[in-house]
Amino acid sequence: MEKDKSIQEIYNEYLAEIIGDGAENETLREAMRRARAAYRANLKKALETFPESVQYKEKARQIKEYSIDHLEELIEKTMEAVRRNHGHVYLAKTAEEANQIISDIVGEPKKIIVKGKSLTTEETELRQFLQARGHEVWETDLGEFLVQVRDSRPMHMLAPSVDLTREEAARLISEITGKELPPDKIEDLVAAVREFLREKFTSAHVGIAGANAIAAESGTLFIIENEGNIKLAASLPEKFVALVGVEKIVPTLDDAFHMVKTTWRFANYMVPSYVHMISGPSKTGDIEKVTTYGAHGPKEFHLVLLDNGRIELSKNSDFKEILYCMKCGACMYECPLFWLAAGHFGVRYPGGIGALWDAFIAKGFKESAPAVYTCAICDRCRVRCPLNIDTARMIIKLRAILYEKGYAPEVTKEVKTKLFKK
Amino acid sequence: MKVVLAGRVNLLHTGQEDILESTVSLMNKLGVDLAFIEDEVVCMEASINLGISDVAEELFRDFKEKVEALKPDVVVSAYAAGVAKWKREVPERYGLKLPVPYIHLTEFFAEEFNKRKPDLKPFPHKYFLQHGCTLGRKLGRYQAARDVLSHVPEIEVMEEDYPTAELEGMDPAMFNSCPASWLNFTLPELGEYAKENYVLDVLVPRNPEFAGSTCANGHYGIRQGLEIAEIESIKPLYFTQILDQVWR
Repeated sequence: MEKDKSIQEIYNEYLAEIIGDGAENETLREAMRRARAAYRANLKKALETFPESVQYKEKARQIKEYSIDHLEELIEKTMEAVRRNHGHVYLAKTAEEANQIISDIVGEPKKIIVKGKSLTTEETELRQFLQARGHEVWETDLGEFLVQVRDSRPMHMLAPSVDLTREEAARLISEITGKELPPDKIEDLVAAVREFLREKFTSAHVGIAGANAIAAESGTLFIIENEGNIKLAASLPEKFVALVGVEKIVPTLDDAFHMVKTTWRFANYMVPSYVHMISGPSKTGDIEKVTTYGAHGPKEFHLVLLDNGRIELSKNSDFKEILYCMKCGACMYECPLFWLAAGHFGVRYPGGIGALWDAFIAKGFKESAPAVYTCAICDRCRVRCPLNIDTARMIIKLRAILYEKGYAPEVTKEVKTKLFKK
Repeated sequence: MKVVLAGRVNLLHTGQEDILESTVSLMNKLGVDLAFIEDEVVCMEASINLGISDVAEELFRDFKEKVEALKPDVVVSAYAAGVAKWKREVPERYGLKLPVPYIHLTEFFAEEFNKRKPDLKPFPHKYFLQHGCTLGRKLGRYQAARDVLSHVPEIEVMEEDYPTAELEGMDPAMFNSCPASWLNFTLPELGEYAKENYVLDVLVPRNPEFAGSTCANGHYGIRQGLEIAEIESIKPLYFTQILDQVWR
């Protein structure tokens, strides 16, 4: 059994990564400059074209406040609705339980699985879990595919390969496809991945994705995407599984649509190429009006709702705001530490809000302490966040807990003895 | 008018005597009766932001008693943290309230300069103004710095713009980048890179002659960032240094 790391070992490892792979990596800094400039330009264009978007924020906040305050009731409603729709629904208390449920759904022997991008599956490390059981699992979002190929972790909530330049992407895609691909034509890189993954889609047994929102009243998943990979993963295999954090549940279809349009707009899209609404397995009633499940799309629809600490957090008045995060990733483009280190600022979830997710949901207080003390508490993320989430306030509150537990950095501990003396 | 200048020890501790000297000089020129806190604790307000809550209440109580003993009309500081903490967190957490207002130096000098309208010498230079994160973004107090600098003839004040600020009905100062000074108290080895990055990404492309933050903590970050990035063409200059220089 692996020995528990000391807090100092955790800090040392974290600093080695965030400085070595992040701050000292000029390629990453340049990639972040390009990403930031593109984000701002795209957001401006989107807000100029759809000026009413600015008004989305207040209502989105109200929907989240209500939903988190009524979380358990909405979970019940969602589960009832999915069953009514002839889907299968599960409430997993932990990440391990969620992975096991999905592993059971996938079944044996070795299966081909195509996955859409999902932070919740990153939280549970689902791909690695299924691969360890002998399955062939492919990330099909281009950014996430690159993350898989280089055996790293997502560096941004929505843009997992935000830290990569086109030169690095070309090198990785050439390596996996066996083709010599120059970096100057991005469309050729995209086409090579499309060709490589197409065979995986058509032979896959199971498709897996997350969701951006769930409407409790109908059990409908809303999934935003641009590439069309989720369209394929949710349509071609016989089984479709969605792993979704319970905080994504909102009361109605209208509420869910409001949340997804707020998400995509502040994630800087004019409009995404696809927004899927999935409420159950494929079906037809074309012969004698007899509803028959398993038409062109999946025959089985499985929704795995993940708790993993969210329900308890929803009752914590100091920190429940963490659950309002829609994972649009807007805050990260304006974070001074994210500019420097991308997702190396964080453990499982990136950035300041990610440090809070890591602390309460994904990793625990000890392992997330360095990320919590990385935040510059400058508050710019709140201004950029469409939900006005006060990350700096929660970081400061959490630091009081971490300090008490002895998880503060040495420098911070020294402040007390060196500075706070009369 | 009697004024207590809080944060004097912090300025000395961080080698920012120039801010202290120019502020004292200006106060003298304005005929202010200036007082300091005896045995002032360095960075007292940092206790809350760093999570060191076991000493915070005692430090704030001690500060309050010392202010009461000095009987000032107002407490001022070059730092934003004190203004912010005494506005909300200290009263809410510890039930402590100061007997007089605690305002930022930009607000104090803006009010004084608006009243007195002094005849100042020109300052024909490009000056980049960063609105301190706490003072600007958290407290929304960014106009005072603009007001006070507007009294200086020929100064070209440059601020960071943000492309969607107007569309979103916000002042661009709400989106000001952060020189990451708080990392001095947590992960200073990482903070060095962040401060350098601020200078390279925000200051260098704008090419001002001088740069400063409204908050002395942010200003310290800019000062350190310029040193780390080895940028000599931009000099750190606090706004009180400008006002003191141009006073006739």
